[in-house]
Amino acid sequence: MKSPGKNDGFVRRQFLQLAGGSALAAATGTALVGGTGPASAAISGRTNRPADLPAATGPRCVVVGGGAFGATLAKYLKKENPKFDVVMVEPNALYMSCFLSNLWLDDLIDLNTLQHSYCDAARSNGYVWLQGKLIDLDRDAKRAYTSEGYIDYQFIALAPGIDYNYASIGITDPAMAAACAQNFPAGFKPGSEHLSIKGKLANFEKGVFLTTVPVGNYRCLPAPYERACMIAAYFKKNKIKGKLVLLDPGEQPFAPKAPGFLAAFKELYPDIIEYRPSTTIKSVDPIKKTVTTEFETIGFDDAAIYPRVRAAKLIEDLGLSDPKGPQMEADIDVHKYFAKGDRTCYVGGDCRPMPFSKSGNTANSEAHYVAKVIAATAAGKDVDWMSPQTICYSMVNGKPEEAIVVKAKYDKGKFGFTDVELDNKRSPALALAAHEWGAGLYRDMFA
Amino acid sequence: MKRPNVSRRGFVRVCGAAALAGAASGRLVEPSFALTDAPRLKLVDKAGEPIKAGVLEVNANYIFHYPYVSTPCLLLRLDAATPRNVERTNADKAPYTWPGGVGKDGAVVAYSAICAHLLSYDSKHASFLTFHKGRSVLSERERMITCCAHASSYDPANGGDVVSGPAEFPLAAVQLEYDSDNDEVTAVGLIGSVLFDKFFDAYRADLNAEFGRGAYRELLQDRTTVAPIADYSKAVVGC
Repeated sequence: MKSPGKNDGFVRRQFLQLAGGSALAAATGTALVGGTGPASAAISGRTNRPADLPAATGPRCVVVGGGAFGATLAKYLKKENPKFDVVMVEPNALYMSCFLSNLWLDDLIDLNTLQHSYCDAARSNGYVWLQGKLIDLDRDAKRAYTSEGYIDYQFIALAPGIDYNYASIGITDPAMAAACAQNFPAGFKPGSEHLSIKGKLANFEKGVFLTTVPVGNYRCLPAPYERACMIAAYFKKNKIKGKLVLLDPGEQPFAPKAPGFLAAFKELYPDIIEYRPSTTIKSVDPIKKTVTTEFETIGFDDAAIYPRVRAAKLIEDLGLSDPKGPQMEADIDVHKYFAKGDRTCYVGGDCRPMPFSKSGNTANSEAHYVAKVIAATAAGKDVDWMSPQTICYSMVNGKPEEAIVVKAKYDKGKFGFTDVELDNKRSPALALAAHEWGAGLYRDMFA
Repeated sequence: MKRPNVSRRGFVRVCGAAALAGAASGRLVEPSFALTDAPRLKLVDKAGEPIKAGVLEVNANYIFHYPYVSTPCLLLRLDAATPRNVERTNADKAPYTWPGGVGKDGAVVAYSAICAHLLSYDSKHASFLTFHKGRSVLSERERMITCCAHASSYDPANGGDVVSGPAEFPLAAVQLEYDSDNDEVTAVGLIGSVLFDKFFDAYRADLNAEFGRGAYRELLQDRTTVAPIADYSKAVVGC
C-alpha cells in the first residue's frame, strides 16, 4: 500500500506482541552502520598558533558549544568562580533556538524570538566568545585545537549537540542520507532545517505531510507530538487540505503527556492528524517520497523525517564516546559529568549518556550543576549530586493558544523520572506560561 | 503619587565587612544590597484610601508596586500567623532576618513578585507568580507562591523560602510597618536578594515601552496602590 490509510495501530500492536517485542528491540538497538548523515565530522589537523584571545586572567575554562548547556555553563562558571577565565567556542554566528520553535511553525511567535546574540551573552556575563570550531583535543597537554588556533585550558566542557543516524531508518547510502537530510530535514538542529520546514508549510497546498518520531532518547521527547499539533493548527487556520501523518515506533505519545496529546489529536484535529503508533520505519526513499514500515509503504507529498539521534561525531572523533552506547554518547562519570579518569574534561548537553530528557530546559539545569562541579573541583572540594529538573510545556492548540505541561526530576540510581507533576488539561493559561518558560531560559542563557 | 525624575538615589550599595557585621548583629538589612533612605509607601486602595489589613481577603493575591513604579510585589493575608524573626540566606549565602507577618493576626506578608530564578514577574499582561491555598499542579505543597514559568515554589509564611523548583534563594521580602491603631500598613524597605538591576536589564525594552524611556526607574512616593491581582493582570496564570 503506497498511500496512507486509517490508523491501524491496534493491528500493529498485535503484530508486535506476536513478535515478542523483537521488532521493537531491534529498532531500539539499531547499529550505527555507515555513520551516514550530513557531513559534520570534525575537521582534522591542528594549527600551531594560539587563538587570538585576551591573556588568561585566571584558570581558563573552555566551553565547546553554545546551546542550552554550553551557553548556560559559560555564564555560570563565571558566577561560581569570578576568577575563572571562560572562553566559549561556538561556530555559529548566532544562536537559534530549538525549544519554542514549533510555535513558530504556526506563527505564534516570530523568528526573532528564537534568535539570540552570542556577542550579547558574552558581554553580559564576562566571558569571551570565540567563533570557531573545536577540531582536536590534547587532554594530556590540556590544549584545545580550534579552527581559530589553539587554547590552553585548565578545564574544558564539551557540548557539541547531536548528529543524526540515518542508518536507524534504513538509509545506509550516504547519497540517500544527504538527500533525505536536505529534502526532508528533521528540524531538530536549529537553523536551516527549521527555515526549510517553515518554507515547506508556507508552500504546502494539499496532500500528506509526514513527520516521524525516532527511537531511543532523542532531542525533546514531546516535540514531535507538539510539532504535529502545530502543523495541524497551521493547516486548520489556513484551510489547507492537508493531512499530517505522524509515524511513531512507540505505542503512545511520550508517556506523561500522552493523554494531553491524544485528546488534542482527537478533539482539535480529527480530520488532519493521522497518528500511527507502533510503527517502525524500515526504509525511506527520499527520491520517490516513500517510507516503508514493517507493514506497508506510505507515500507523502512533503515531510520532516527525524532519524535516531546520536552524540555529535566530534565526541567520537575525540575518543570520548562509549562504543557500547547505542547513541555514541560520551563515556563519563554519570554523576559528575567528567570524562572517566580526567577531572579536567567534562561532557554535557545532548552528548551525555544519562537518560535524562534531551531538552533545553534539562540541559540548562544540568549546566547550573556542572558549573558548581567544576568550581568545586578547582577548589579541591566536592558537591552533592543534584537532579536535573525538567519542566516542559507543549503547545497543542494555536487558536486559541493552549498548552499542557509536565515537571519531573530524576532518581540518582537509574535516573528514572521522579516527582512527576503534570497537567494534561490544555489551557490558555498554560500557553502563556509556555511562552514565559522559553523567555526565561533565553534570559538565563543570554542576559 | 509618582515622584517624577527621581533617580535611584535612595539605593546605595553597602559592601564588605560593614554589611556583614550588620547582618550578624541582626539588623534587618540585606547584607550586600541595602536600601537606605527607603521610600515609605502607605498601602492604599484605588480611591487613595489606606488599606485596612483586617479587610484583606484571606489567601487572596493582591499586587502593589514597591519601590519603583515598575517593580511589582505580592501582598497576602495568610490564614494563620507566621513565625517571627525567621533566619534566611540570600543569593550570596549571607544571612538575614525576615521579621514575619504583620497585622492583628500577624499574617500579612509581602514579597517581590519577581521570581528569584529567572525573573519572571507579575505584569499587566500576565501574572506568573501567584499564591495558592491548595496544592497547585506545579507546587509540591499547599500554601505556596509558585512561579508557573519554571515551577519554583516559595513559602510566604517563612520568609519566601524556596520549597521546590530551580530557584536557589528566597523571594525578596517587603518590610512592612503596621499601624495597629488604624490597622494600616506601610511598606518601608526590602530584605533578601533584591534583583532590580537584573530585572531592569532583562526587561529594559518592555519597560521602556510600558512606562516611557527610563521612566520605569522612578521611585514611588508616599503611597502605593493595592489591587486584587485579577484587576491588575489581564491573565492570572495558575499552575
